[in-house]
Amino acid sequence: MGMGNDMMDAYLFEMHSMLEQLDDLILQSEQAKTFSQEAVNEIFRIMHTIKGSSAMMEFNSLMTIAHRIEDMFFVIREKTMDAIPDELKPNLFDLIFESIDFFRAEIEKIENDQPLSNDIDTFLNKINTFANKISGEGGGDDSPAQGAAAPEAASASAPASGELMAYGSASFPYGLQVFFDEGAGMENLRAMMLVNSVKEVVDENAFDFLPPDVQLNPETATFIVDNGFFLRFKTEGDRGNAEGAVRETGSVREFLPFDFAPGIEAQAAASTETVQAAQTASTGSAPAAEAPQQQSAAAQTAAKQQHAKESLISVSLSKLDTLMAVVSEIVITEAQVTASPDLKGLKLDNFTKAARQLRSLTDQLQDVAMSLRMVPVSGTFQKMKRIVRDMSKKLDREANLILEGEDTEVDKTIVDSISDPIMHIVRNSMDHGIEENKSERIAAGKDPVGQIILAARQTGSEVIIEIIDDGRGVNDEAVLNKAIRQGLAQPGVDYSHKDILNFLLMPGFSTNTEVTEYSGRGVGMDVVKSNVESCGGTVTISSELGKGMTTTLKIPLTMAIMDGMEVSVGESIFTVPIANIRQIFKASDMHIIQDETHGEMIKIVDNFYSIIRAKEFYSIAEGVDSFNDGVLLWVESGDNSFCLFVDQLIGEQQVVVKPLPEYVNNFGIKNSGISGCTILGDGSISIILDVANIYTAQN
Amino acid sequence: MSEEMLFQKDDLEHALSDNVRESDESKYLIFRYSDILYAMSTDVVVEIFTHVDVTRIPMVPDYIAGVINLRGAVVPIIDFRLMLGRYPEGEPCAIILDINGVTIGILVDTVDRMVDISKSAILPVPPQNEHPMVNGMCTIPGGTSTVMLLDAPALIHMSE
Repeated sequence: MGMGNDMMDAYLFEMHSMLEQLDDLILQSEQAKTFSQEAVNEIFRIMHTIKGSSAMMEFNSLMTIAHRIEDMFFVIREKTMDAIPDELKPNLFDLIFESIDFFRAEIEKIENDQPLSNDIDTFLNKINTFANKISGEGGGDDSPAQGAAAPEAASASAPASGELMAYGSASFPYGLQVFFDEGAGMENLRAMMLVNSVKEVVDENAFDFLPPDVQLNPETATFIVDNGFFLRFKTEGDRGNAEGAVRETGSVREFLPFDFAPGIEAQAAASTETVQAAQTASTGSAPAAEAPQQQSAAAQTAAKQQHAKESLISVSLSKLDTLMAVVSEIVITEAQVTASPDLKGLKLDNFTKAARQLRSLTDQLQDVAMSLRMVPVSGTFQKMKRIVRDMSKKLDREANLILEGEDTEVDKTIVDSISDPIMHIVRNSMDHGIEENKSERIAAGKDPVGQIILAARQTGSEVIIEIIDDGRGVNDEAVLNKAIRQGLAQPGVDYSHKDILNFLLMPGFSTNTEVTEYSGRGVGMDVVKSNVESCGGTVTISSELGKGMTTTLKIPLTMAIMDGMEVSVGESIFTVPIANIRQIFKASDMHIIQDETHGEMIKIVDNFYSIIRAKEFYSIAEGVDSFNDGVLLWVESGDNSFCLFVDQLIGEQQVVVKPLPEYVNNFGIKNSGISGCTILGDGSISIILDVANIYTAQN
Repeated sequence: MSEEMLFQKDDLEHALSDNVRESDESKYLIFRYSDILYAMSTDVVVEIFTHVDVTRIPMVPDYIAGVINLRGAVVPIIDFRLMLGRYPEGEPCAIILDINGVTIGILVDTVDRMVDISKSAILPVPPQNEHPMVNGMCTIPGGTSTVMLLDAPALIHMSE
């Protein structure tokens, strides 16, 4: 297609955020049972932008659908929602939701490099029929398409010539002010494309443009919308050539030539500066005093708007990963330098002082770098609203979703890996949890409308996400019978309530006898469990029959850097996460209890715990055999608790977690409790152990 | 004038034949273990170390010597000698390879030298002597010794 990747990324990013906005808007409107006039305007605007950007990217299916909906909302905007009969309103909501789903599906295809749908006629007809219904009801006969397509060119009057001059330049005196189509979207990238096509006819050094950073700074789009995009040429002839190129470029609404008049370049500089100040979004630093009075009011408003809404920028995750990697290296190198063996025995006051300062700065740097990757869970949580809404309609059960602690921040990679699990649990709650009939709920003394609470909170080292429903709860007997039928449980064995709940998390378990659209595919909760465990978390279920069910996900806050205990076994060095260690102690051989199958145990406080010898578990040749010579780590992960026997402790250290190479991971060492590795201060590699998997592998 | 033209044409032909030769020949790194010489295309060779500090990884096949810290990156190291079923002798050299974006190191006895081998000189291995990692053999130009050409991608596929 010849489009730059930047452009595609920008398009996808814009689409995603607009669809999310749209989803939210319609969910709110549906609750209010009507669209407010602002909502109508907003939808109209969003559809217009989708139409424009999709047309530019040549995604025709998206463009066509967006165009039709835009037309429809043009009518609604004119007639207001009052003109639409109440019985049609729910259909309208459904239709918009359907279109959002359509857009999403198409976007997904684009992301996966698949061809877009060609067959959009059915959906198009549906929209058309509905649009006709609305306009028919209103009795009016105005042509919506025409109205919507007509650009409101008149409203955006060109700035006065005096202001125009402010953008001139002595070295490039022949200017061209370009305006793009109203609401075209991504004006900065359109400007960049324009520059590229001008480059084909005019030498690169014979012209410049304003704002200068259109390619890298999406915030310049606002400036271009308000003030136009400025091309400036050395000679009049070049400008003439460029005009031809500009004329042929798509989405250009109009362009005006202007010439530089000497004496006002200072103003030009000042106003450029203001634009840049706005872009950096640093309040107060704008050189308000220097800015001349004549400065266009539009630029000032633009600056204010940017302060308000553009304080966020989007950065590709790979850049953050690189940053994180570099910071991690700095942290390690800092330790290498300040604790260098060459410094031993030297008295270096100034060095020590500087080293201490460096230490505190690297700590800060690390904190900041880590916080960059943190995003609030609200995005994931908001998506659940739509799921609950859709399922309420389909299953004809009423339920409210209550969100708590949406602002809780977790690592971006964690957000990605918990989004599916949360969705699954919420679906399960709707499908299996909330009672089918209101009468059932009323009989049980509950609110007829079901309730699902999705809550996130932070403890020191973990994020806890709870999904609580007030539905039927888990019927132990039914679950046990099912588990026996599936061969997961032994008949006649006495299982505790907790054991029975754990069956729900086992592979191949699904309590619904029939597979429904939403859950019960038999790949439910076990996938939830493995997804959560893949980011180092745990899943637990609690439930009381008739009262509801609570699913709790506990996820470690950060994975990239953690506190570890370095231990040695023979010549190998392992890192055990401090978070998993309950106690470290020495024991003598006489405290060890042997059972028949050579398993070893030890009594701590009032309980017996099994012992796993790291040396034997990993078949390491060297290392101590007698408990008198080694150390026991009492470790715990989720519900598993045991003692790990190692040679000796080396010390506590903050380590940067690195994955092991794919080549090595292919041998399934993760299942043996080897989750990654870390590079120690002296450059050697230590293997990070995953306590939960050691336990599973041993049993 | 016409003479000049002639020269130019000559030059052109010369340049063309050079090009042909270049595309036909490629550089190979020759290394040794026991008495056998092996060759690996230099396209995949990143660097060579004489002393390596390999960290063992438990629960993997013997021929995986472990991982090393290569300027902050964790790189797996295969003991090539064990992979071919022989016991290593003496201090090894490590050759770091980049095979289709996968960085991996192999341990060998000694690194010999670099040679140009022309494609036409590469002969198939007789069926009885076939080895999954060897995709051809040839006699070193100007010498009497024979080398086995290693199939780099096969190295990383051994684990899959």
